[in-house]
Amino acid sequence: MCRWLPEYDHILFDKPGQGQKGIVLRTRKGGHRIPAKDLSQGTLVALALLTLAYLPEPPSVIGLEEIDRGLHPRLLRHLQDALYRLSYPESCGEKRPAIQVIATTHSPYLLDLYRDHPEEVVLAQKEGLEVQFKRLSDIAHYEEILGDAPLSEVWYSGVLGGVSVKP
Amino acid sequence: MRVGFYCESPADRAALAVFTAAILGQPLESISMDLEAHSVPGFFNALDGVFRGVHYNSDAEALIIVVDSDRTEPHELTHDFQKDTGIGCRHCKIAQIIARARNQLKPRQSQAELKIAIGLAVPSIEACAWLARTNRSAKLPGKPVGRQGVHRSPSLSSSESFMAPTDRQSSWRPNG
Repeated sequence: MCRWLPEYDHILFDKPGQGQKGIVLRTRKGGHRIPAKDLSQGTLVALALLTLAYLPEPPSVIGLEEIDRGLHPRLLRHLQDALYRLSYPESCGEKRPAIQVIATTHSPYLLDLYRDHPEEVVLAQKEGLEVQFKRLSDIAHYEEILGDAPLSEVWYSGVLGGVSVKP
Repeated sequence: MRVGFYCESPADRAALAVFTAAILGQPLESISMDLEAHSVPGFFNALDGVFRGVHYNSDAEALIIVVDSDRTEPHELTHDFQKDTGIGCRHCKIAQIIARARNQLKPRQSQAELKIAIGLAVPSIEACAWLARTNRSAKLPGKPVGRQGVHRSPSLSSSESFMAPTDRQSSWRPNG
């Protein structure tokens, strides 16, 4: 948490109401206690992702929609590390089984982090009410098309698909 | 004719489609890709990939590539991108990227060679069109517009450009 949210130094708990438990973050400077209801959406998403990544027994499949929601783009490398911790536990020295993570994003910055792992990226092409899914590595001449360009720019151009098409 | 457009916005694409259909004198069919750039740097970053992707993975017969000149040097017929005489000219930059990529491409499978047209939208020319549309005087301050005029072509050759260069500075705006 120190890397993701360095402005906080402790996670505390309180009881906001009868039968309820709440999370409170304590600021490193001043020791202010900020209840979860007053934290930003990005902070809450970060806490949730960190919790998932460090669960001793996570579920075998995890689905996350708009995984970068509210996160600063500079945090996306940490986000990728957290996802890889789930999917490749042996790389972090863990002995539990690998987790299948399915995450969606519209973030070009996050997409760029997967430039060298096209087998891990699936583009969704919306056409009217239909959606077609295509793995990046299955696109003919993918490496030649990408060249030295950022993946996000080439994706945005529409040449790889993965953009909405009018019915 | 199946023609793809790579430009900076859907509005540009819509205008270009009308313009192109008028030049070709035939209706256009859309291609299997929906192309667009979100900025000028993004446009150039993806241009090589767009050309290669359209060449290999689309049913396009032609690709029209247009970008705004903004405050850069308008294209001149004396420019030669192979001799680097058009440094700063976006038209030459596009031509250079396309030429380089074309040299490395494998032939298309069961399709004719992709025809390419390059365009540079110069703000003064756009302003003239705006003036004409609003019935304002076509007499503009400064040098005459359209030193070389618009190049028309009944059909797109394998590498052809249409352009409308001007001496007028890009920052010019009509009065009132």
